[in-house]
Amino acid sequence: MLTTDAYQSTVSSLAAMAPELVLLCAAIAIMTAGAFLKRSCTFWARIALGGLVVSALAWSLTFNTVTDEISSVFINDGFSVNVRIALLIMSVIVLGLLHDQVDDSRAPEYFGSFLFLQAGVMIVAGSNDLIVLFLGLELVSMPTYLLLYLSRRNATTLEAATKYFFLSVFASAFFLYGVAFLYGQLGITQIKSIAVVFHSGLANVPDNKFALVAAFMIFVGLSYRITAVPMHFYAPDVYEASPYGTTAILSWFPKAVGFLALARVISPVYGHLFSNGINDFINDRLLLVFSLVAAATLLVGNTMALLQTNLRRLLAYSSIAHSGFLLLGFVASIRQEGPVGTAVAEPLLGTFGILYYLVAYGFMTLGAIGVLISLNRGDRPVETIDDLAGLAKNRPVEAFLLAIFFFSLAGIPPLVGFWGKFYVFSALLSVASRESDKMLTYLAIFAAVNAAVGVFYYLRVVVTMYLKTSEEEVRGSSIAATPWALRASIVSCTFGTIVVGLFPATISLPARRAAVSSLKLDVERPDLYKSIPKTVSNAR
Amino acid sequence: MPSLLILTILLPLVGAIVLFAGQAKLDRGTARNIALGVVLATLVVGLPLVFQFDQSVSGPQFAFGKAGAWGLPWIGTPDIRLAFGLDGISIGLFVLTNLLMVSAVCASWESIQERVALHYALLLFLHSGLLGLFASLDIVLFYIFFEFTLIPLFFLVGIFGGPDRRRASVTLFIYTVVGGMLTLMGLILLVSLHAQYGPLHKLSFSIPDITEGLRQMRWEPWASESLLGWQTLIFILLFAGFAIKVPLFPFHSWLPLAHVEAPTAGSILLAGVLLKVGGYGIIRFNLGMTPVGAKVLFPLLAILAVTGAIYGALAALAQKDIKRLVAYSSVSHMGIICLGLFALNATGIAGGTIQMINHGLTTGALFACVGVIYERYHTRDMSALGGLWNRMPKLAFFLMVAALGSIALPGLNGFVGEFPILIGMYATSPVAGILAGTSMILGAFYTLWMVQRVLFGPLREPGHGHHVDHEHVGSVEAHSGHGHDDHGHHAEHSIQIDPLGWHEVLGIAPLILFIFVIGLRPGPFVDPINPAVEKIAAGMVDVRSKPLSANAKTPAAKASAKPAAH
Repeated sequence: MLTTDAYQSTVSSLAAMAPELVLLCAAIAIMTAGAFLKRSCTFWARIALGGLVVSALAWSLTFNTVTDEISSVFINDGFSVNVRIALLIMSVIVLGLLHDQVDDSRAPEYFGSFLFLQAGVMIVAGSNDLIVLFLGLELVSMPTYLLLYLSRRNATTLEAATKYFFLSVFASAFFLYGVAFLYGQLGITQIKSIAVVFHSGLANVPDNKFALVAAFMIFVGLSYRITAVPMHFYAPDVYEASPYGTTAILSWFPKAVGFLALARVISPVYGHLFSNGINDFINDRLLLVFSLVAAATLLVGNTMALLQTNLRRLLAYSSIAHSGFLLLGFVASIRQEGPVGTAVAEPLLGTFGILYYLVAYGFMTLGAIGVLISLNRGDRPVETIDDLAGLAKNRPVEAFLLAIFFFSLAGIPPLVGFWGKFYVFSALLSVASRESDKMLTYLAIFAAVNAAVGVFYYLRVVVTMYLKTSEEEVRGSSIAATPWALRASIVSCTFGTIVVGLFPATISLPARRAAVSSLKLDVERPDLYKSIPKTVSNAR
Repeated sequence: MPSLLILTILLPLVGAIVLFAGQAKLDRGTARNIALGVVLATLVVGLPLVFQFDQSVSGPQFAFGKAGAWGLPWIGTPDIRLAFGLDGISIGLFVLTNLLMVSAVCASWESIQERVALHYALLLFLHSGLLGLFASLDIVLFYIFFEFTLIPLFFLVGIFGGPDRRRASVTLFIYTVVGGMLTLMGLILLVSLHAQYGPLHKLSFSIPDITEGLRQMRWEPWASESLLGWQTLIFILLFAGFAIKVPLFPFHSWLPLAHVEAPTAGSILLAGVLLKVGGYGIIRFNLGMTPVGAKVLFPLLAILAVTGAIYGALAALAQKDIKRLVAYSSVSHMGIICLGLFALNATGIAGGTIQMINHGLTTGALFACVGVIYERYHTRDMSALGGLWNRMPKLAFFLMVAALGSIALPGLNGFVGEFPILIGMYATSPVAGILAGTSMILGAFYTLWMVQRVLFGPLREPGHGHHVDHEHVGSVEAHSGHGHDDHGHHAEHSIQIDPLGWHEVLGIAPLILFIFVIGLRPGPFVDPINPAVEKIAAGMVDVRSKPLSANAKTPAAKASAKPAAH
């Protein structure tokens, strides 16, 4: 039934979605034009950059658009607005890394897919509807298959792409199944509305244990994107089979989309369930499972990374380990409200920790990959850690930058990676400081030990660069001779790692706004229960 | 004054950045002149702080802001602030850092020949980090400096160290980071518990405010004396990092490796200042914020400290390498210092605090002397050295005084610290006090033996390469008075032994001066410490005076210990 309200909410949703629509149009245009025009890789990269810039313009024009949080499928709340501009900035950095890494013949498809992927991540960030969210997720998955396949055409890449494809489809099925459970329970798909129902304690919902199943299924589906154990197996193989450019995409976008989706769906909905205190068993079980997954992810990521000699595999396991830390913030986020009077202080929200960590992780890991790309431009490819031996002597600037990024990944202050870990741990321990959740302290301690293990393998790279010497010099053009776009990306990442590390408020302010608004529920609104479906209220 | 404090911390940082950025362009002479200029300037700029220090105040001084909001705003929300200030516990260590930094720069004057600018840049980064660490009034700021000091130290040992430097630097780094991460967990827990249950329900990161708030916190589980209670848990977490830094007995294995492999400047700073970071952390956080944990874990802590003191002394006794001997002596002395802190009364804690400064002076001087010897003979093997008094009387004097200071000869600085430590510990646990006394006797034994072997007896100097045996025999036979002449016969094989240069004297003499001054007139050095320590000890007394079942153990231990004393 298309009432005026519904019409208006559709219009405002579409308006708010303008940046994504721009990106989709640009992607389609690039892919179509690619069939007719023979141009170089950098040309298509410029077009893609144009698409991102116009999209950012569209964002600046529409971020004030008011959307209805209960009925709209796509909303412009603080989360959506702040996260999407951050995503755009990050993807400009990624584009700088990629801009000449692709074969000219495949460049249009590659950059087209890249823009699709970017649009998908942004849709997930702004979605207020499970179906739209799923669309966004698929808009990330499908271009990723293409990217994996396009970057190189040999047997290993093919294997990696196939592996990724099958597992990804498998995960999507899980996600959809979970969504179906939620819809079957409540008859609605708007996330904020679902949160309101959960906030009222699910008392009117028959068989509310299915909410637990739904959460598990959704989590399993998303844990593939964030490479959480046990859905992490593909990551090292896929990373290893891809060139560094594609590794950069893989290490940032799927992780970002996975955690944004978790922060969008699970944290607000199940977090509010706890505040009511009626259905604590759901939340308790979720907490247990998520904690175990986080612990397993940390353990596997960090210990396996110790054994790696290949840099890409090292980055893959490091990415798994970082997912483990991000999951700590997620664990905290479903528990942050707690019984009345014990709500976690606003600056220490779990979702805030996740958002901050994601940006920090983006800066440091993309920066590290950027330096590797620049080193790889020489005639001797840099594949293993030992290839970096003596880098400090031959190429001091690159070695210094790589050391900064790896120290940041290890979480050494005052670099940005430290603040990511600090906020995530603060969120977790604020929850743990409730007597009832004291067990989470042990999770935090376990994670802290893992972080220390992590320092070891990052340090190994630094030791190789600075304290070992090599007969063979790392040759190739120095960083000063690399194209300006690559240099600009690396410089931005360095800036992000050092300066944001010294002044963390630059990111923490928007990240906190985003986190607060994603959790806020307008339960007092008079017209609210009008849009909550009849099925729920009719159930009794 | 607050700006002066910040200036003192920033000055080395600026110097470090200049040297780091100018690595390629600066030659050796310029780089070391800049470094010396910067450390001297920092020392001078820091001096007014010492004279302006008000000895009657227990809270932090020279800080912007006031209680509730120390320092300058930095992050906003959460309200982590750029808060610097000094109190009685930190000011001594602050000045000690400035002083030892001069020694460190002087000690590397000639010995560092390559990548000189980088070396001094790392030293100055470390300098700034340590000053910031001791002056931090904010928990997060403290932790940032705590971890940050590792990076320059890692490269200092890793690039400029001895043959096994890679393993040494990695071990040092990993050990410290493992402990540091656990410490971070403890610190965050303190903050969040304080925000949740503290009297003001305010998210604060300020060290003085949290210490005060936790003391006033009326929340049943906080005062729990069970082994799984909050305070015990947090104590262990905090302790993990600080015990490794100190290092306390089972966590010490990084220390001999790192000290031996580090360049002289690195050893001076490691032993002189970085070990004190652990002790400082224990006073500030473990004792100041989780007194119940200290009380519950007292038996364990006392056992660890005593074991460390005796084990370190025995290990030092067995060393042939003079640098390893000094390194193990640090384990022993730090054990005694910890024992003073764990005495949990004002006497012991104050003794431990002043002893940290004393140990910094004596060990710094010892390492500097060892560096001088190594630079000339390229050996640290005590069996190859002897009778150096004849060759380098100035050095011999310095080494002698430092050694006597470190064995707590009355009239020198060590006595001023070790005496109250023993008294304090005896009051709490006589057995531990007596055992600590034993380790001091062992300390006198190995230190004097070292002095005897190196300084006295006939002159023995190692030669070069395959001539070493020949030289050896020749110098042993020679009458000590004719050592020099004998040496002259082998001029083409032997090393030209330079007398102490001005930079070496400048590096060691101030430390020796303070060893005397503190020993002869301890008042001005001990008095500023007392108000701050008494505040912490008062928190301890609150905890200890509570009637609790766990307390029943203490009188029993005392009763059984009494006969042993006689």
